[in-house]
Amino acid sequence: MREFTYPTREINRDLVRSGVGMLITALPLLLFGPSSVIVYILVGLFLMFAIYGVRAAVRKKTQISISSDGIQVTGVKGKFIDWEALEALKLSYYSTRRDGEKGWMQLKLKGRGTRLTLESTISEFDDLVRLCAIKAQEMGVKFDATTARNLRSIGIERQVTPQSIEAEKGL
Amino acid sequence: MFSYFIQRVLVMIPTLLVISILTFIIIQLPPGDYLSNQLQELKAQGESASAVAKIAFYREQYSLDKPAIEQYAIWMGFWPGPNGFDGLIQGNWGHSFAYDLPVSEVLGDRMLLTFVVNFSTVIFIYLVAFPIGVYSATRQYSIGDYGFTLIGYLGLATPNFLLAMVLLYYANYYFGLSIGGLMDEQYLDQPWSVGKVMSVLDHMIIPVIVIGTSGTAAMIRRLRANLLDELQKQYVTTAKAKGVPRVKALVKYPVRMSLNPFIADIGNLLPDVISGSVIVSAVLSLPTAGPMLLEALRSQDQYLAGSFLMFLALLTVIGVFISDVLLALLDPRIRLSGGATK
Repeated sequence: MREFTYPTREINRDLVRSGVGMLITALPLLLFGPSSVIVYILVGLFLMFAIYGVRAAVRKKTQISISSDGIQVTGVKGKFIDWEALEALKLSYYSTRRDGEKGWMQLKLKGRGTRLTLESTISEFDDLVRLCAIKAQEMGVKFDATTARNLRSIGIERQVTPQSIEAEKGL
Repeated sequence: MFSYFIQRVLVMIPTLLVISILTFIIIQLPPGDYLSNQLQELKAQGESASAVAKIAFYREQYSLDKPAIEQYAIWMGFWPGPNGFDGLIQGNWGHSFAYDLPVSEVLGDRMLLTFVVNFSTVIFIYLVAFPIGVYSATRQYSIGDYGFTLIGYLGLATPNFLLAMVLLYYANYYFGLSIGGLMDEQYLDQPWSVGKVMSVLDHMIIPVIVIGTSGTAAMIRRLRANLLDELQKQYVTTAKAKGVPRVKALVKYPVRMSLNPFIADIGNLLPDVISGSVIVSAVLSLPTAGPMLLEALRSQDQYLAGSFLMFLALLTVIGVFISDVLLALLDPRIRLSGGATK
């Protein structure tokens, strides 16, 4: 069994961002008596930063375990996907730079109505993806072209099967 | 994505603060202010003491007698002025000395018309540039490509105000389109109605074409160059070799990839269009905010100019934010090199 967590440094950074955000939106609200439009904007932003802080706190408690049975997320809200029930695996890459570099990845898993979304901030994310991809291939899950390329970019080569050839035809 | 969103918002807030400081400094840089100039003029004309007293009242009322830092803090609403906290974040845009009215009243409909004209121009640029750019790239060195390239260069090289004057004459001579303004005279200072909207739409054709021409030409060139780069990549050749239909092999990835710089420009497009339309608005007598900004800067009507510049800065920051988020979401999300990083 392998276990993965969100790194403490990353979580702390998120908590600081959330705190700073809440501070700079709450201060004008409390001190300067802004107009109604500005109040709506500031309250909206304050709530967004608060949700971000709660998410960071939840992630601090979160642990992801991969075993021969399936992938389990424990913490505030537990989830489990049995490998037997795995229906889809999607690895996306997001970048905001013109050259497409310095972005982040997101792994989405789906099985029997349960969905899991894991981000590349997780420590040893490459290993996590590798383990999931191997299991997905064993279960005959088809990867779309984007996922296949993204897997290849982190050194995970796909096994050539009749299903994968079919999937590639869709380009 | 949520983390990215939060990081960007966190950067946007101090960015706007720094812009507000810079705006205020720039407006304060020329020696004197609007009221000092007025005072000099009144003294030269030997005007009455009541006018001089009025100017002194304004100076005190709008804190122009206070240090620059305090003036800035009062203007932004961070520091109490003569009327308590009453600045930009409290919804008070200040007072226009030239018009002797609150800035919000002076801008009024002008801001709406400015937005309508510039939004239509942006739509025009995208609608015209996209099909032509794709056509030029997929039919490289064809007669059509050469034709559009020539038109593009003409669009880039022709000064907007010149094009405005030429189009005004010919549009009126051949098509009977009204000259100047953004609506017929009978609708001026009238409440909004269907007739007024139709009149605005009728008058917008020439301004939109004139203001949008250079932007369209630049966009066509950029899209053509990006798409040509993409079409020469190996994955397109592979797709064609595998028998992927021609249109699918074009639209599925190359067009999407070539849209990246297209979308990255959204942030700059809006302020560029607004500042680029100032001279055209003056030539075409458009009641938009551009000429008013020009006049406000010239006469040092600081609250009018400052509030308008802040509005432009806000548009730019929001535009860049939208374009960055769109870039992150743009398909295909394919990674170019190895190693998972954040």
